[in-house]
Amino acid sequence: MSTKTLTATTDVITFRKQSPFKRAGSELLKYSALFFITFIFAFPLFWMVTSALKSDPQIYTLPPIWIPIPAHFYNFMDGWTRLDFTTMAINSVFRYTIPVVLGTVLSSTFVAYGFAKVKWPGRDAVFFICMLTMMLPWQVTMVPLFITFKNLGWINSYRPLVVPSFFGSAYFIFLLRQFFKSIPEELSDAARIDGASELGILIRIILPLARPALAVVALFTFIWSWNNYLGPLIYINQDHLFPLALGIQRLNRIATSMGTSGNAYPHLMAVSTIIALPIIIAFFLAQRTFIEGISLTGIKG
Amino acid sequence: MTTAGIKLRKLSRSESKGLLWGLFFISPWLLGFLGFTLYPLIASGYYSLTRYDLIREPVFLGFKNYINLFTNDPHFWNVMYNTLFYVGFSVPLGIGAAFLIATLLNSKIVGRSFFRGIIYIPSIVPAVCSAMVWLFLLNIQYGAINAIITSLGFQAIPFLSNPTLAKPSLVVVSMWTQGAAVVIFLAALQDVPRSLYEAATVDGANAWQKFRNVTIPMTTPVILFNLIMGFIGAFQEFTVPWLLTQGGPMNSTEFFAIHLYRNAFIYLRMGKASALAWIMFSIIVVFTLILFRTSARWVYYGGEE
Amino acid sequence: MKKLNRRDFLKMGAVASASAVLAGCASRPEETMAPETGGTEQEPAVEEAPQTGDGVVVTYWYSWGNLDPAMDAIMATDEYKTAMKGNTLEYKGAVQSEALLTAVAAGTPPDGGSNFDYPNLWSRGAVLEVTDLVGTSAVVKKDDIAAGLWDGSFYDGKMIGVPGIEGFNWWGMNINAKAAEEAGLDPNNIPLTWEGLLEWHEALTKFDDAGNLLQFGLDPWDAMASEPDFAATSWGFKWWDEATKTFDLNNPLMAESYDVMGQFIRMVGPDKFAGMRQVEGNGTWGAAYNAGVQTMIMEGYWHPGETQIQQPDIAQYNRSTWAPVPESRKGAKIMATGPHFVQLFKDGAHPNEMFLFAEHLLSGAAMDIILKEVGWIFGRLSWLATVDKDTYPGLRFYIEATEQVTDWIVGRRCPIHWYVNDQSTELREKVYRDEMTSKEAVEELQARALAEWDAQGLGE
Repeated sequence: MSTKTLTATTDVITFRKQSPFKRAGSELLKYSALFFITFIFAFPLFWMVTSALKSDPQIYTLPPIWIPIPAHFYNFMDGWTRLDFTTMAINSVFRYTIPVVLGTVLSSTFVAYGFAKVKWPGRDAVFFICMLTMMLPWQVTMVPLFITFKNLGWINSYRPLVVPSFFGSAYFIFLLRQFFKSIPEELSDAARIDGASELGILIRIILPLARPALAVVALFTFIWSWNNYLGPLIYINQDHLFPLALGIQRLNRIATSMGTSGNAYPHLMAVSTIIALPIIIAFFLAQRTFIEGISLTGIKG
Repeated sequence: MTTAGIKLRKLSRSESKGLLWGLFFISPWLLGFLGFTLYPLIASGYYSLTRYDLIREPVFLGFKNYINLFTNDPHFWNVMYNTLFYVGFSVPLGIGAAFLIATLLNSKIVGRSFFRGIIYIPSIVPAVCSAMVWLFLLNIQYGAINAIITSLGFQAIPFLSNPTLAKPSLVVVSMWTQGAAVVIFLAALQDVPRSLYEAATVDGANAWQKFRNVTIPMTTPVILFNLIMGFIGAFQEFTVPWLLTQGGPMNSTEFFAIHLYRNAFIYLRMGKASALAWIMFSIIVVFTLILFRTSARWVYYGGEE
Repeated sequence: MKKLNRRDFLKMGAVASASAVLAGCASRPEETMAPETGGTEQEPAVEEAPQTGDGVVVTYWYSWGNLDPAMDAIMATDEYKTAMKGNTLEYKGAVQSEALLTAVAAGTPPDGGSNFDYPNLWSRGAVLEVTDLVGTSAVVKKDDIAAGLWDGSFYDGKMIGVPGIEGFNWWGMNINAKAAEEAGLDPNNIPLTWEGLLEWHEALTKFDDAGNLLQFGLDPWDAMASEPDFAATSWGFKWWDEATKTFDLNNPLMAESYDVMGQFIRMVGPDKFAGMRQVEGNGTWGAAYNAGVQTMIMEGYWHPGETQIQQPDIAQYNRSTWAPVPESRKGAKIMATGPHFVQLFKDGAHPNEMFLFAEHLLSGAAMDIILKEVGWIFGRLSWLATVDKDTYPGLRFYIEATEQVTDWIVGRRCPIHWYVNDQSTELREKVYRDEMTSKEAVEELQARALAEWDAQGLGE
């Protein structure tokens, strides 16, 4: 498959040599493969949506019902209002994701620059330690961290989730460092010769080039905090402070502790679909920036 | 990386200036590290030497938790095997599949953003939800996939309920959420300069040679990135297998993170769980260290070399 | 206790268990549940519950989601408002145990909690002893609570929580009478031994031509029959001796239970059962029964009501009778019991106000709502006498069982009950998948139980 697809990759260059017949064959193969793969990825999504349209008995019916008739469209509304998802959405956006995205982008850029572009003794060792933190299982630090935050009086607030994001996230530090490293050293060296400070280089040279990469960090952070439930689960106990992911988790728990009652499972699917939508839309709208960001380059020359 | 040290020795004034700037830039992380990582880490290291149930004060045991795990635990080695099986298959297969899909998407196609979108979406569906979806797809009784199989007159396949099939099934499920890796690879592929392919064509390289000698080397930083992230993620995989199989059938999907969680929050053996966490941490560190050590040999950074 | 299959239990974290009661007041397992037995010397004085000045906000966490609809209704009543004396309750359902445990570890627990792992929280010192508080209550009285539930509230002579919410007898065999008739069986003559039941199981299990399961009889290890308490009571031995704190799991009878109950699994196929449980674990174990796929299930007093509320089409065919015993013990009628509690957390700010609500949960007003909304009953005798035994098909059996039972125990009293249960689940699976003999399995089970006992520091 790889060689076939590769031929495709380099179509631009090689098509002149191919006979039209061969070319059509390779196109056919390419699109069949694409549709097949897309089908595999899309099928569970279809199932999620179709499950959202079922009632409880239809979930457990044998054989499974492919498309429920009548479709229970009101599951979307009922699921959304079953718990106060509107408040949760507001919490998720304003109390949680926006501050976390801001904090992560700012701090990770800063720190990544220090690891990627400034040369200083011990840098690689410290960077390695930074990478090690990424490998820490959350279960290890959870209890001591909880006690720390409790002593700070931060329980039942978003501070335990938001404040640490202003201190850099190892994952994004790594990601941005990889990008920064691929920006030619000559650019910063030229600026240094012109007397620019490191901070100036970061702001004037690197940041403009890095804008798409920052968009990636922002989007990834957004998705991650949008879906994170383990953190809020522990720190947030008051319903009016719940973020969406915790509501989803709660619905799942209701579904699992009540079985075939109250359409909890279809509601879970319906609300999950609604919650995934903003990210899906954001992804489609921002695809280009996003892809560009990931590929942020300096390799071009 | 090592040449930097030599250069700096020559310029000690710039060395100290660099150090100040470096510390300035990394200071947010450094502070966060001390407060939010190092302290809890040390605390958990201490817990791993104790019997601790989260409620009462810890009782110091020395290395007993570690010794018991390695010599006298009915599950430890099985958990290790399950985890290595899962990581060993899901990471290379996931990265391989993501790379191939990205290659396919990178060709000249109509509707690329549509295909790319569909492939990416599964990775942003809340994990709690996707686990439930897969449960109702793969289940032997209620599963939609098995409904197709049985309607064709075949016997249903116990994807998640057979001790031999459960782990491979979870590997397949994990591949469904490789969308982020696909997008990252795709970006990297689009970034490989056309001129390199043109040059290779001029040199008479065939498709495979171009793939092998241009595409792969140019995307090595991204492969490294995905490899490391994939490994760390797979080793700590928790939510989806937990919701799908809860470690069963017959403990065949009792992975490290699940076993750790079980001991910490179900049996309230935080001490043993902390020891497990430290073992897990050590394995990940050693593996990543090896990758980093070897990366200088196979990873190509445009900016540095 | 209901709805706590292993999977669900694990999911919530150790919790769940409810009735738990592994608590220690030495239960008298051989005794019947007559109202006048058991209890402590504590004589309840009739007094006003402690008065509070300004109203406070009392926090109450509940481990499952089941109670949510009832709580809304309860908190809307005038009786509730009167009972709370100007205080307000902040109720939170479906609370995961991680949240509770971290809150306890940090010293910021709620005021009260239910359906978490009661004995575990007690034995680790997280909750208050309520013996004295209950002693002052006009509502929570020994005379008015079924003896097994009262006894089950004590651990080493101390009351570990305020019994209430739900709690009565469990281990009844519930069958779908319509399915039985269709299979040519007489639903009024359900077999009471394993041997007879296996024949029913075979008759009720149907496959399609390709060998796919369409309907089955009994999963012997789902629902409440999964726990070691059940095998021990059915075969007539004690796997855990509370007085001497010793285990008797390496017992030929335990091995026999693995072999006999395993036949039900082998007949259908281990993978099919495992698959069923994975889904059941998500819908809890009632789902296949409610869907008509499963035709027999061992549950308890909650089964008739829950089935009626969730799936009236199936509930109308519900018949309940005694859980099976081996041929050699034919005639033994087995049951387990134990209450749910409202436990008061040691670091909670308002134990007295929380207690007001715990008392209110025992009121007719609250229990009527719980029966109607959720289908649960609690053995408060004066209230139980007012309940129509035919409210739900099969409920009569559970209520009247108290008079006829021959062997009963207060369930889940061993401090490592859930650990043993998990190990037993794993090891018996190895038996019916032919990886191990039942003799080896129970040897290993005993060894693991002893090792965990030591590791938890319980032997010191």
